[in-house]
Parts: sequence; C-alpha cells; structure tokens
Amino acid sequence: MNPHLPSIRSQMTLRVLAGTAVLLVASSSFLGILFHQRIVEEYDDALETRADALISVLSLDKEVLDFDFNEDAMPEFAAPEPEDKDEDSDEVSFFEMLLPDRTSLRKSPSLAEHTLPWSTGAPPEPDEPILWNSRLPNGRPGRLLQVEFTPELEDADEEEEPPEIPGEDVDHVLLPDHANLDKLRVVLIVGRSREDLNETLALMYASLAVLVVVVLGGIAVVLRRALASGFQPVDDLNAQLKAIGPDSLQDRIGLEAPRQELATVESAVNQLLGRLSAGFERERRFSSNVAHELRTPVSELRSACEVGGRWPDDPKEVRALFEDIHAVGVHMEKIVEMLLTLARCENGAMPVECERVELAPLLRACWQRVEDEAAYKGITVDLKTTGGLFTISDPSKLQVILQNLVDNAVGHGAPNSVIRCSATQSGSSPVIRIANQPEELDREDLPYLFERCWQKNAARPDRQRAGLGLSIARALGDLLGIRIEPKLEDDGTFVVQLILTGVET
Amino acid sequence: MKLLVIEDSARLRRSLGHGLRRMGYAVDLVEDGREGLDYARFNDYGVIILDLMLPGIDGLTVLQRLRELGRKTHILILSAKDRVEDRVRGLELGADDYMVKPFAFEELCARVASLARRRHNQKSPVIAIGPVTVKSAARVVEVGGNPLPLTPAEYSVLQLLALKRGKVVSKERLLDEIHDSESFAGTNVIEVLICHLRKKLAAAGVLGIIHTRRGHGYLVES
Repeated sequence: MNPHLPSIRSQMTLRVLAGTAVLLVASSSFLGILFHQRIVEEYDDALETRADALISVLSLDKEVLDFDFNEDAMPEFAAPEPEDKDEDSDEVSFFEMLLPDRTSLRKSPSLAEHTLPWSTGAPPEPDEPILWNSRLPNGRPGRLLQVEFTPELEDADEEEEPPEIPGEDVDHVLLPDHANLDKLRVVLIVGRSREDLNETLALMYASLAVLVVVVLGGIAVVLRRALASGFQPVDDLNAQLKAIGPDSLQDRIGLEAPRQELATVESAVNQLLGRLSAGFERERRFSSNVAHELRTPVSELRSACEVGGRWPDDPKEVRALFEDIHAVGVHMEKIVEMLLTLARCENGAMPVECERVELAPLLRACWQRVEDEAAYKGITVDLKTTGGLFTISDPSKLQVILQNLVDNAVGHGAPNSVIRCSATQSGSSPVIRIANQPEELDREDLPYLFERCWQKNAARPDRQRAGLGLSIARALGDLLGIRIEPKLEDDGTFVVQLILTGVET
Repeated sequence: MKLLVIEDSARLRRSLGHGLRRMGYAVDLVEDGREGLDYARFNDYGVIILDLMLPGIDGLTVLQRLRELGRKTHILILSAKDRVEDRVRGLELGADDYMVKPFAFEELCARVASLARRRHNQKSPVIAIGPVTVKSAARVVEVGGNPLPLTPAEYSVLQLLALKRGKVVSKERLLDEIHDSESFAGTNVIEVLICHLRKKLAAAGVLGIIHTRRGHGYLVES
C-alpha cells in the first residue's frame, strides 16, 4: 500500500466534515444573527418601556412641566448606594430630560452630576426613538435610547386634582424663558448598562460554537465508524488481492460480506485471474517447450564444436560436424523466424494485403510440396476442390496457413493412411476441411494444439518440426479473420476446418 | 571399453560417436529406444548413454526393462529434461548418473570414465603397475612420470588389463573392449596390439608387465 496516495476514506471523511462544518456554521450564524436581533429587540423594548413610563409621568401644566416621577416605583434610576456601587452598577439605569437645545430639565438620581451622550442621528420616523450603544457615565458599555416627544398637557377642565399618594411629591419643572410653550418638545435620553445583554449574546454565540464543535465531533466519530463498516468489504477485497501472487493465481476472490457495488469488481477480478492463470500456465508450458526445443540443437552445436575442436585432424569427420553445425543453425534460424512471425502477428506488425484468391490452385500447390513425404509414408491424399471457389484474403499468408496445416497432416499422419482435403462453399463462406489419421492424438490434447512449441511427442527422429506451425496458422488466421476449428472424431480422425471470408457476388 | 549411445538426434549421435571413439572407446550408436534395448540386452557395455525422449520406447522404459532383466550395466541418462522430478525419477529407476543437455563433452567423458572405474571397483583414477601409471581420467599412461604415446586402442587394452590386474583377460573380452558391435575384426588384432604395447613399454624401459596365458588370454600381475 502506498501511503502517499490519497485515501478515499480520508477524502470522504474530510469532505463530509467540511460540508457539514460549512452547513453548521452557516445555519448557526443565521440562528445567531436571528437570536441576536431578537434579544437586542427585547432589550430595546424594555428600554422603550422605561422611556414610555418616564414620558407618561411628564405633563405640561401651563408653564410648568409636572414630572410625577416616583423613585420607589422605578428603583433602577435611583442613585446607587456607595457600598453597592460595584455590584449593582450594571443594573443601574439613567435618564435625562432635555430641551432640544440640550438644556437639561431633569436627570435620574443615578446620573448625579453627569450627562448622557446626545445622539445627533435622525430617528427613522418622527417621535420614534433612536437606539445606540455608547459608554455610560459610570464607564460601562451601555444601550441608550433618545426620543423627542411633546409632553402631554394637563387637562384644563379637570377640576379635581388627582389624590396625591402619600410620600410622593410631584416635581414641577420650571421651563426656561426661551421655551416655546406652544410647541414644546422634550428630549428624553434613557440609558442602561448592556453588560448583561453582551453576556447573553456571548453565551448564545459560545453555545452555538460549542454546538457546532460537538456536532462535528459526533459526526466525525459516527462517520469513521460508518466508513469503517462500509469499507470492510473493500478492505477484505484489498487483503485478498494483496495475497495473490504468481504462485496463487488459482485462488479466487470471495468476499465474506458481498456487496452489490463490489460484485462487478469481484467477478471481473476473478475472470481476470482465470485468464491470467491460464496465460501464466501457457507461458510456463511455452518456456518449458521452447527450452526443450532449443536444448537439443544447442547440445548438438556444443558437442560438434567441442569434438571437432579437440580432434581437428580428421578432415572428413570435421567436415561432417560442420555440416551438422550448419544444419542446426538453419533449423534454429527457422525457429527464430517462426517465433518472430508469431510476435509480429501478436503485435499487429504484420501487414495484410487482401485480394480475391482462388482456393483450388492454392491447395493443390500446398499438397504438391508434401508429395514426397506423403509418398515416403505411404499416405494417400484425397483432394476435392470445387472450381471457381474464391475468398478475400492475403494470398501469401493464406498459403502459409494452408501449408502449415497440410505439413502437419502429413507429418503427424499415420503411415499408409488417407488424408481427405476438401474446399466447398458453405452458405456465404468457403470452407476448407483437412482430415487425417494422426499417429497419436487424444481429445485432451486439443486445447494445446495451437500452443507455441507444444508437441505431443517430443522425441522425433526428423527434428525438423518445432511445434510452431499450428500456432502460426492460428495467429495468421486471427489476422485474416479465418476461423480454424480442430476436432477429433470418435473414429480417431483429426479434422481441421477453416472458415474463410466469402466473396460477394 | 564399449559404450552404447541411445540418442534420437542424428547430429548429436554423430559428434558423440566421433568424440568417444577418439577417446578410445568402442561405441555403438542407436537411434530409437526399441533398438537400444535390443543392443543393451545382447551386448556387454561398460556404460550406456541414454536419452529419455526417444521414438519407439522412451528412455525410462528402456532403463526399467534393463533393470528388470537384471542387467547391471552402468547407465548415464543424457536428457534435455532438467526438472528435479525427472532426474529423481531416472535415478530411482536405476540410472547411475544424470546429465542435462546441453552439456560439456569433457564432463561427459569424465562421468563415463568414473562409471567405468566403478564397474571394476576402482575408485582412484590412477592405477600404478610398477613404474607404469595408468591415468583413466586423462586417458594417458606414464612410465616414470614420462608419457607413453599409445593409440586409443592400445590404451583401452592396457587400461582393461590394469583394471583387471591379477586376472586373466581373454582376447575376446579385449576385442569386445575396443570394437563396436558392427566390427568384424578377429582376435589377431589383439595379438598385434599386445605386441605393440610390449614394444612401447620395452622402449620406455619396462619389461615383463604383460604376461601371456596360452589358450586363455593376457595378464598383468597385481
């Protein structure tokens, strides 16, 4: 396993966590903003309520403003006790009433000699309050409300004075001379500490952040377990694939917990292993066969050279050894040429030039070349060809295919047997059929017939055959689109059938 | 010593035959297993060089049949089959040695000589008879450290007498040692060879090593 390669598991974990984190942060931000606004609104509502309460206790009575402020009813505006100055200062509220020209009319006891900051901003609507944050006189962060209003006029028709609550005195505020009583406007500024608001907001944001982290952590744990469980069949597949080596190609993948997604991979790998195993086995046989095929000529060469070199005084014998060396060289050259032909066919490096080819003359020429060998073995050839039978093929390569098959039929044919060869039209395709009686061939030999260097009997007196003829015939047949089908009939007759490309009339 | 080479490759047969004959062996060359079995049954060979993949009867069957017939001839398998199981099978069936093709002719000769010595229970490749030393590995004879020029046939006769020293060896046995099965030479060839040997030994200062036993054969004292 290459540790530098990216892992699907890690990538999925990172991507899911990143996606979840983005969604969580976005949703918690949205919620945070929503809650923030709502909390501030509620805070401001409370401030407005206080402002309304103060406005409601202010009325204009002729030339005097009556300010019916009861400190007991609104203790938050009271001056803090010296001993509670630090503890309760965040609960202390302030107000100041002023004329629009900033002439102070009244202040809350809590404000003492200080003044509240003045907002120069314009309200969103007339008589609507302006709300803003600013530093309070006690140095703490505060929330302030500034509203301009017209004080309520005392009812002139009201004859009876409302009964005065004992201990509660109405404060009569004298207006300055320049005050316009007809259009009297009063500005009220109310302020209170926003430390508790800030704390609430901070707690909310911290809760949301913790929620995001906890949810992400939880998702990471769940995801890790889910991926570990989900990837178990993949791990199983990996382990089984890793265990496969050149010596265990017969083994097949079998997942303990099969999964639909891996079924195709499992099946494809098993099929591939099957082909690989067969290929390896074929290569092993080929290596063994070709090694054997080359060992004997190499032995011949080496022995001839060593003997000839040791006793060069017998010209007749040395000449004979040289002739042997030459013959071995020619034979090995033939093997090399055949192997190269096979390699070219397999690499697609063999040019094909197709044309209209008449089969009868081609077959007759092939049989003529083996006449002597057939006669020597007492083999009779029964050749039946239909005149005017054509195919589209590369004539030189088709001839090589036919010659190899004919050579094979005679070379492996039993002495004094009959070889039957026919070329007929079957449907749209010409078919060539060569049937002989092989000296020794079993049904189980058929799969190996076209393998390179395979020979039923490695001991051959002639040593001319290298076991490559049928391999070349098959390779060229594949190149030309000719199907070559071998068959061993019940009576021991070996039949090779070639199905060629027909000529359109 | 007479050898039988059963080998289906005509070219290998030819070079082996030529080389082994030049080494002083009498060599019979056979192409197929069936013929080889017949030769081995009816002749007394010092060593049989046997290929495994043979037409007719394969080499292992030849080996098996010979052992079943009680033939104790030393058999060296010379085959292109190089797998361990092939070698083990050959040795288990009674072969005395196994060589894989391609091979060095020198090594083949050394192994044949080794098998030949074993035939006469002679472990050492050097046999000393007084001042005469027969070196079977190099197939040379030395007298007092100096090489004695002998023909292959003369060497073969002297070597057999040396290997069987103290025993009388018949002319027929000596003839069989130097001529293959297709030779029609008579025993007078042996008399001529013995005469030449005695002359060469005498020229080197060695007298009376080879004794004649009238009507029986020749003897080298142990």
